[in-house]
Amino acid sequence: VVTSNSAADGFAEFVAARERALQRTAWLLTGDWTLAEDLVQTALARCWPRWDRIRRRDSPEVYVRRVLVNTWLTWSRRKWRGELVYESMPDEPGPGDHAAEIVIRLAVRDALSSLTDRQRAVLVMRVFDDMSEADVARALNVAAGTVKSTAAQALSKLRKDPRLAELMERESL
Amino acid sequence: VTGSEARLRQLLETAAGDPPHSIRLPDVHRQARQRRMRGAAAFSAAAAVVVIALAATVVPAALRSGSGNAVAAGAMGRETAYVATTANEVLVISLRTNAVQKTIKIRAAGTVQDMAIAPNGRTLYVLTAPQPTSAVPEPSRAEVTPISTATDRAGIPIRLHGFGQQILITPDSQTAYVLAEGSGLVPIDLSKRQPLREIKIHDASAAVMKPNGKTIYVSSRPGIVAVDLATGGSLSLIKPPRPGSLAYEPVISPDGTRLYEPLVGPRWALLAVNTATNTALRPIAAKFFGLQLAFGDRSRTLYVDGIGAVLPIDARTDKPQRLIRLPSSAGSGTIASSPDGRTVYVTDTQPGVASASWVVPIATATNSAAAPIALREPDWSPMIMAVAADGSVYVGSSRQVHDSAAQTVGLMTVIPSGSTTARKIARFGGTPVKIVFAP
Repeated sequence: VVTSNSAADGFAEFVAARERALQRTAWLLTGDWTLAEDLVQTALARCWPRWDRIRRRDSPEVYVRRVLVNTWLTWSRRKWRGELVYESMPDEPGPGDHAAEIVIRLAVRDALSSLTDRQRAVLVMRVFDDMSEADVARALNVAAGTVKSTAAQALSKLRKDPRLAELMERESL
Repeated sequence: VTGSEARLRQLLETAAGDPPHSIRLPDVHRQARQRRMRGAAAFSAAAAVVVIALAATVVPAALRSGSGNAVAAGAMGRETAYVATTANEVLVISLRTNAVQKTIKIRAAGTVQDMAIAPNGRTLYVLTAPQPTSAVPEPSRAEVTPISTATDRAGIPIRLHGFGQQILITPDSQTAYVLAEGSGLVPIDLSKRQPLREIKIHDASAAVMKPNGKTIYVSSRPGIVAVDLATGGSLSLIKPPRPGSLAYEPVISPDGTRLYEPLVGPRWALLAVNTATNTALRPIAAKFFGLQLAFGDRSRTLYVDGIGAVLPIDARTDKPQRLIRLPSSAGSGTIASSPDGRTVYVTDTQPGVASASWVVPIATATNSAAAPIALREPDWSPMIMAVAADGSVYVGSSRQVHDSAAQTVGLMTVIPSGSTTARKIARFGGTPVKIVFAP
């Protein structure tokens, strides 16, 4: 029951400590910062009412990530994700980027978009978030073997992406 | 981890870079920390809010209220709308031309937190308080600036102690009560422009006044405190009958017989209070999560704005009705009722590269949603909404300036009565905080 200040404080501390990491994961899933912010916000909003129970778990973050990934999987199944219509483009530029970073960012985003939703989720959680196969399995509610095979399929697919393969081949990154 | 996985991880690290903005905590959280999610009020999302002092921009308390704006505003006249912003400005908008006639600068310490108009329509009162910082998480001063609606000029601010977050005015326009978050209510004698002795309420977080002006209900951590103004401020505590945090601002039915406030625990519920006896009724439970409330259809139906849906509740039986789905399920927006109670309006935002927003009208006779009305400006988040006496819907939106997480710009939009398209009124600095209408 979320009744105590300590629960609220604990939630605030968790968000303060992990929101950037969660946002980065969300970007890798969505390829878009605005959507990543919305995704993290939504996941946190869904976790908050249950926070007193979540915080008593061994790893609250695994639970939050599970909500994050499952929320994204739900979003990605929606038809509106297929097309984004604007009446006009945003009129202000985004924050400055270095050219090399942009090259990497675009290559990674494009390569990740070639994966299935589940492959992308497994790869991001396993490789980027450095979660164990067991934790990823718990988060996605699948068997550990499925995580292993899905990760292998995802890596194999990424290696076939020429731009990413070239970047991975470089000595210095 | 193999070598290629390590290289891939480096690439992912570089690609992900640094997030451009900090996440705002859900509004409910801000509330729970004394109803200082902001202190913090989440999920401003909306609660939201998300609503929610860890946020890059601290959202004033008035942004938490959806229905309060609309119901109070709807009862007022039809000539002028006043919009207070966090840039400490009040925009004066003609309701005939929907053009900004004047911008009134508020020269007071702190940032606008709330605004109210005296029921006699003569004076507007703007409440300002310093934003909390890590050094001073609970500021203990506030100012109330009077503005004459005859001249649209600001007077000398009234200074008071306490972290003012909300201002309420009695129906006789003689007394204002400022909710000082965490400490209580500060009465102000408006004829003398002088603050009176504070009514202490530990962990006070939000307040609402009964339509007859005799009682103010204050949300606090242990429960809702009823302050009897007629007897000089005697208090009674109404404890929720089940565990949970009182998560948002309470609302009172237009006939004054019931008070409702979301009660957030392991399961969401709505606390209902009989205001005749000041006793808690059986909480209304539903598989739902929503924070903003508005009455439609007079006092017969209460509408709760939640994630992707609106829950109607029959206020005569306290029974939840069938959910009304919104176009997006990303999060809750704001909700407001038309003055005649026939339509409830909800804002809804679809996340995306450039997010899209709508206003969804809901007919209270049938509890059915009409076609969403696009707000047409991508990337803006609706923050406040109010319905004028003629049925025109005014929406205040904001967005962060891309190169500064702490700076925001605002936008006012109107959906004229009977129209299904939105028109831009003006852009301005800061976030819109509150809309009120004056005769």
